[in-house]
Amino acid sequence: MVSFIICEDNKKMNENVVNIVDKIMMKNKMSYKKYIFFDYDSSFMTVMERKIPNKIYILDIETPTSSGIDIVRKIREKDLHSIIIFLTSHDELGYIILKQEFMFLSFICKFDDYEQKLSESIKKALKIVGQKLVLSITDSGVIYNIPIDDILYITRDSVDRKCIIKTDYTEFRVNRSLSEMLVEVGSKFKQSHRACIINMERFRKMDKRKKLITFDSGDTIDLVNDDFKKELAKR
Amino acid sequence: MIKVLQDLIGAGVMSLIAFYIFSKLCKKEIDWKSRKTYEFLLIYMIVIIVSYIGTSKFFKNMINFICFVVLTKYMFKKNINKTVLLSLLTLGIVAISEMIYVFILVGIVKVNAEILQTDYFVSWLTNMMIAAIGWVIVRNSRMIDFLNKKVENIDSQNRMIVIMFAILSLLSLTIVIYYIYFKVNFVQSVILAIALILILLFLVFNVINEKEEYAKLQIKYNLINQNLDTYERVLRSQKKQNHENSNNLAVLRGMIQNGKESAIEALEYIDSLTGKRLNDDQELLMEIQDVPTGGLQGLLYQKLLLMKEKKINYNLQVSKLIIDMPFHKIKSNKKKNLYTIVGVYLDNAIQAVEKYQEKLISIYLYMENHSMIITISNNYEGYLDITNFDEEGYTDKGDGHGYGLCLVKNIIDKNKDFCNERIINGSIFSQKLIMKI
Repeated sequence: MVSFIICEDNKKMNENVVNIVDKIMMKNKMSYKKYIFFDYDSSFMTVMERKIPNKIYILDIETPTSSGIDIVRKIREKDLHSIIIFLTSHDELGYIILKQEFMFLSFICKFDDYEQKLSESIKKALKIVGQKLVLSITDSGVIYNIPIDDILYITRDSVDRKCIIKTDYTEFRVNRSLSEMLVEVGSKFKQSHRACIINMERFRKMDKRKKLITFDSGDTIDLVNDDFKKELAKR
Repeated sequence: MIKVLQDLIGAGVMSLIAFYIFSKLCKKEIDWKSRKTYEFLLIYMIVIIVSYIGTSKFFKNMINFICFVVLTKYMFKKNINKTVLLSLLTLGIVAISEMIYVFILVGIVKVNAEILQTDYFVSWLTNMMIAAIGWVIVRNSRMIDFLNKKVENIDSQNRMIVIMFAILSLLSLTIVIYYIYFKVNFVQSVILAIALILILLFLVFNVINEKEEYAKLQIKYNLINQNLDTYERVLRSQKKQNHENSNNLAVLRGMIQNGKESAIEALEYIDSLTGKRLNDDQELLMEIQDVPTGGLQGLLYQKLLLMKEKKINYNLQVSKLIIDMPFHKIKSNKKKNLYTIVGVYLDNAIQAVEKYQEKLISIYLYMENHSMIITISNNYEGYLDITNFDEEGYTDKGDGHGYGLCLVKNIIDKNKDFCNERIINGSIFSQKLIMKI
């Protein structure tokens, strides 16, 4: 069951959002429930803190009493995996960094074909709802929240005795074992080699002769064992 | 009877020459009036006789050596390392004297080597000649000074290494002498070989370990030297800066004294000093109106203006609870620390993103659990090595940089009201400052 938590202070806008949700879910087999609010009041906070599975938030960036960013911060302190869609009447440029910082799914401007964009965002959200979206590790006093979809693969550096998490934009070195990482990242990852686990969602192809895996970003890695080759052949 | 006499004389002579050589090596005059001197000579004489008669020829040297060390330690009161080394040198000189004599007698004069053992007169003469040669050797004052200096300079804390070296040397010497002169018992050879291997291994590991420790110390001292160099450069730079600041303040003072007409001139002068002409921005003033006044608002205004100039996409979020915060009640010293830390974080964020195509910074102020929290985030590219961030001088921005975060760390370490966190959310790096109100 999917839980939609909607907060929009404008009544008309609120109704439109609810209608869009209903319209999409009619065509979907998943059961759903809606929690509707007009402000970030105590009832909203109660629902937010409750352990409801598969949450999709559709929130207004600013209400009369609170800031949506404050709310998102509180959500993210306890829940890195719920999906957040923001509705804003402000210029989107300034929010790019907030989107990455707080890991929203999308930022939708209310004055720019928002109905279409909101529908697309909700459909996108339904594909990933309930999944583990973020890998969260604290290492050497630093908190790492890495979107799972950004990770290409994780290898083990036997010299430094650290795991290297390779993403599109950088690599992270953390004091963890590969087996611990495999548990953390979930079922999207498979072990291609004793010293490597790869994100199968980012996997594009494998050169069997050269034992080279290519990812959708163009990055490659040559840590492949026979078991992985056999498993891939079965798929 | 003659044999006994021969043994006594021989032992006495050897005891005397060993004592003499040792005293020369450690540059101490023998006190012939002292009872201790004669006690030493007598005891060592007995040791020589007993070891020669009662033990295997092979281990005679070892026993002699150990007893000699004990006696000289008691007699001359030097530390154990130096005593061991001096004793080794003494017995070494005696052995060399013996070698020289045997070489002359057997090698040059072609006397049968067995006579040395069997003929009492020759045996007695041997001891006397060895003693004489030893006496001659130590008359060389240059050599004595050299050896004495070498021994005195040794200040090794590792007693075991010195003793093991001594034993190793002695055993090697014994092997050389006895393999040349005598047939050696097989069992004794095997025991000796094992002992040598074990001692050698012990010494090798300890020496390597000492070298490693020395290398580490070298690195540490090199770092200290580098830090001192850096510190001196910073001091010179600060001295220069202070001098310039004094001059500039003097100029400004003059302008202010001149009255209102000079106010614009003073502002222009300040702008020229800071290296940028900043224009008042009404929109920006609206954005920061919720930021507490009294310094923080001014600091943020200046930095946001700079971000606008550098075309950095920024986002400022000020939580509504901040507006009601009693900022004016915070002590001035605490505020000063707050401005320093926030200033460093913002400068670092600006410097980090200005080289990128996509430049993103966000500043978020909010209240939580009686604390004011300021989070400054920026995008980054490539590998971020956070481990060295707080190290003084660590920077990728060139000379003169690398002190900001070290300064922040110092403030936070000294003030319980401040703490910080570092968070990486994907490609966004955040520094979070928590200040207890």
